Formats: sequence, structure tokens, C-alpha cells
Amino acid sequence: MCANQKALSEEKLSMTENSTQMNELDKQLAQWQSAYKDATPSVDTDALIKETKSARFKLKLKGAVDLVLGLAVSVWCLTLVLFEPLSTYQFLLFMVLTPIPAAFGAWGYWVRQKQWKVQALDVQSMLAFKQNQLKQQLHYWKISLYGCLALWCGLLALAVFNVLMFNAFTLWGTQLLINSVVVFIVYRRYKKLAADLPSALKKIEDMK
Amino acid sequence: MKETIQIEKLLSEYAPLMARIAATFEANKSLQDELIQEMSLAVWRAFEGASKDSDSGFRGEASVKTFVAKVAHNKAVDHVIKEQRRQEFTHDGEFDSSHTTSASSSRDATLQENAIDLMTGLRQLEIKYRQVLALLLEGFSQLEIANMLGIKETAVAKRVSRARQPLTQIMEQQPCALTKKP
Repeated sequence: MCANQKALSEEKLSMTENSTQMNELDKQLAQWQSAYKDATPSVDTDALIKETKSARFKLKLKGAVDLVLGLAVSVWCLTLVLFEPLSTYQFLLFMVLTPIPAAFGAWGYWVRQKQWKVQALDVQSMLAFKQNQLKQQLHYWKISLYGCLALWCGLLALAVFNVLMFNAFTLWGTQLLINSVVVFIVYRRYKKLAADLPSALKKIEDMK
Repeated sequence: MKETIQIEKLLSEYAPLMARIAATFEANKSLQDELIQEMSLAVWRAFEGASKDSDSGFRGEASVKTFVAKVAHNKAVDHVIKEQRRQEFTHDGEFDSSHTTSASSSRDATLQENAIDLMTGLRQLEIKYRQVLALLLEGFSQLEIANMLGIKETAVAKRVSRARQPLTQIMEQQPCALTKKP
């Protein structure tokens, strides 16, 4: 009986302590909330709206110019293909070129829309998107490196042929050298991104 | 035109909220201003997207405030990632006290110091803790925070509890750190 009373009294004491702790935490939170609101930096809302409007207009204008320029180049190529007398080589070249600028403009528009939509996702999904974006970026640079290397090899073959057949060393040597610099820059960029990727991914992971 | 006026009203109403979020993630005043503008633009685009596409933007969230806070937090986290990449993100807790709305108000100096100390303290927390505390201090419920961050409500409660202790310690360690600044 006595033990029961002691246990009950300890429980009551513990509940009172918990309640006091909770009250203190609530009080602290209320103080922090008030302090947080007091720390609001001043904002000139009129200027903010004006700047936001201007930034939005510039973005829209840039998007429209990209799209219109792409379409214009495509239409120009198409006009050449349809109405101008072209050699077979020129015809094939312009046929291939025609859809590229318009497609590039449309792709740019799609990428921009996707990036805006990401802002409306929850933070976790946005961070996952960012991680994926970093991996994709590395993938694009890898593809670019392979492309540059393939072009360099093609150029090397042409250079060897021209040097051996026509002794055009200076011309082809210069072209090879310039392209080697491009390949080297792309390689360095790829290696740097590959080295930085794990830490960049980890930093984002830590934010989750 | 009507939509533009509505968005302008909305930006005016929520500019202080965006400014607080920006201050929680960025100490540098000019970068803060840049971030507030980026947030405003993102909010504008998100609401615009909502009127065009029912799968994105404002989808009947608990409140407009929740939606604005979510977009603003996303932009802030995006800003931190970019700044980390540029290695220019400052952790020195610099804060310009002349830019607070309450500077000219009748509240006493101690309150102001506490407010500044709290922002400095918040900026020293890990981002995942900073986010939950900032949203909690903004007055959002744990469920709303969970939806905004894309985590479980229990995870929010854990983060809040883990974040309170270091924040209390930070604030106790440097109660007058900013008063040393000119």
C-alpha cells in the first residue's frame, strides 16, 4: 500500500516535471517566434514587384527570341531546300540542318518549363531532381568528350592522309593542334566534374 | 491583366515572409535581396503555371501561404547549392541590423538583439534543421511542414526536437555577438 502510494507520488512528480518542461519549451518557442518575426528584413515591395516584372519580361523575351531565331533559321534552310537550285551535297546538308534550330529552340523551352515546375515540388523532390541533374551533367560532358575524341581521330586520319599525299603539314598540323586544345579542355572539365560529383551529391544528400 | 494584379497583391502580402526565409539562408544583404527577387519570380511563375497546367503549381494546397513558403524554401535551398558550388557562401553570420523592419519601431533593443541572434543562430544550423525550425517559427503546423518538405510528420517532430538544443546552445554562447559590430 505504502509502495503504491510512493509510486503514485513519483509518477505525479514526473508528470509535473514533464508539464513544466513542456511549458518552458512552449515559452521558448513563443519567444523565438516573436524574435523571428522581429528579424524581418525590410523590403521595398513596390521596387520588388517592379524588378520581378522586369526580370519576368526579360526571361519571356529571351525565350521568345530563342524560339523565333530557331524557327527563322529552320524556315530559311527549308526555303533553300524547296526553292533554290542546290547540288546533291548542299541539298543533303540543308535537309539535315533544317529541323535542328527549331528542335533546339523547342528543347530549350521544354528545359526551362521543367526547371520552373521543379520549384513547385516539395523540397525532397527538388533535391532529388538536383542530384539527377548533376549526374546528367556529367553524362553530357562524357558524351561530349567521346564526340570530341571521335572528331579528333577523324581529323588525325585526314591530317595523316593529307601530309603523306600533299605534304600539307602546317595547315593540318595547326588544325590538329587547335582541336587537341579543345579535346584537352573538355577532358579536364569532365575529370573535374567527375571528381567533384560525389561531394556535390553528398552535400545535397545532407540537406535532405 | 487581372491575374497580374492578383499576383502583385500576393507578392506584396508575402514579401516579408520571403524576406525572412531569405535571411534564414543568406547572411549577405545584397545576396538576400537577389534571393528575394528570385523567390518572387519563382512564385509568379508557379502561379502562372497553375493557371495553364493543372498538374503543376498551386494545386489546392492547404493555403496560399503554404504554397508561397514552399516555393520560397525551394529557391533558398537552390541558392545554397549554387553558392556552395561557387564556394562563396558565407558562414560568418554577418547580418545588417539596419535592414530590419522593427529597427524604427518602439520595441526595446533587447528584443531586437534577440531577433538578430536568432537569425544568426538559425544560419549556423544544418539546412534540414534550419528548414523545419524556420517553418515552425513562421507558424506552420508539423503536418504542413511535412508536406512542404516531402518528409513524414514524425521526421519533422524529430528534426524540431534535435534542432532546438543546438540553437539554444548557439544563442547562449553568443548572446551579444552582433553588438560588437559597428
